[in-house]
Amino acid sequence: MDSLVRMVLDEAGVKQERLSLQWASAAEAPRFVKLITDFTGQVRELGPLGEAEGLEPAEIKSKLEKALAVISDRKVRMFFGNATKAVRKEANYSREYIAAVIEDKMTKTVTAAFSAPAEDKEKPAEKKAKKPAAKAAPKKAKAPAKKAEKKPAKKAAPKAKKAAKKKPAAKKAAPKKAAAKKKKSTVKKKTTAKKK
Amino acid sequence: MSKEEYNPRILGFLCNWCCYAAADSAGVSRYQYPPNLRTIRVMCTGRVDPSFVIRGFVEGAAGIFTGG
Repeated sequence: MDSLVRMVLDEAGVKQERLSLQWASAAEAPRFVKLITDFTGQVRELGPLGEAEGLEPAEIKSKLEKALAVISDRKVRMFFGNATKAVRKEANYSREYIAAVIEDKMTKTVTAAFSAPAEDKEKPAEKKAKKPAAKAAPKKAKAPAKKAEKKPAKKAAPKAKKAAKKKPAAKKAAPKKAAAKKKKSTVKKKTTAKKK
Repeated sequence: MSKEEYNPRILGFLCNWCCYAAADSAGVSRYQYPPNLRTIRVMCTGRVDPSFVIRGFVEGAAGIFTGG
């Protein structure tokens, strides 16, 4: 996780020092305090996001949104899964080794995803606009919508209403799973956008 | 804004069983640590997805601390 995020941040032009992954057990309060103090000092030195990188806030935001799209990309995730499998096979969990494997397997995919056509750049913005409305929209809501395209408009209308009714129920039922579903729905949106 | 005055917003993903408990006990035993950390408690550090971290930066965090 660490290595992949660092790689993507690097591509986006964000300094790696802004991310820290550390371990402190429940009994290590002094260590935790030290870690937080050090990290805060480190970030304070870097200044606000974009200052140490020499980028404008708007520019860095668009770059990060692109990075978010890259990291949610199905292909990238697939390669990431393969890389983790390779690490597990070797049973060598040192940071250096994992970083090496990730770099070896993923540099190409990540750079390719970053240099993907500009239409990808528009998608994150689209997603953001849609998200609040269809936050917890489950798979069911999407499926009838697809069917509706094929069927005449009269039949489509009641189905859409049903889907709308299902949404609030689903929200109540699974608030914890909302985050996971969000991810699913973003992937779905991507595929539908391509179809259109 | 001078660097001394600048208070970065740091997002922290803390594991419920390790760092979160450590932060708790640090509070109980009155250790001083910077108040810049905004904590998100996760049930395990393994729950943290790469996209969470990137989204944290998109939303304007100056630094992200992941603690297991």
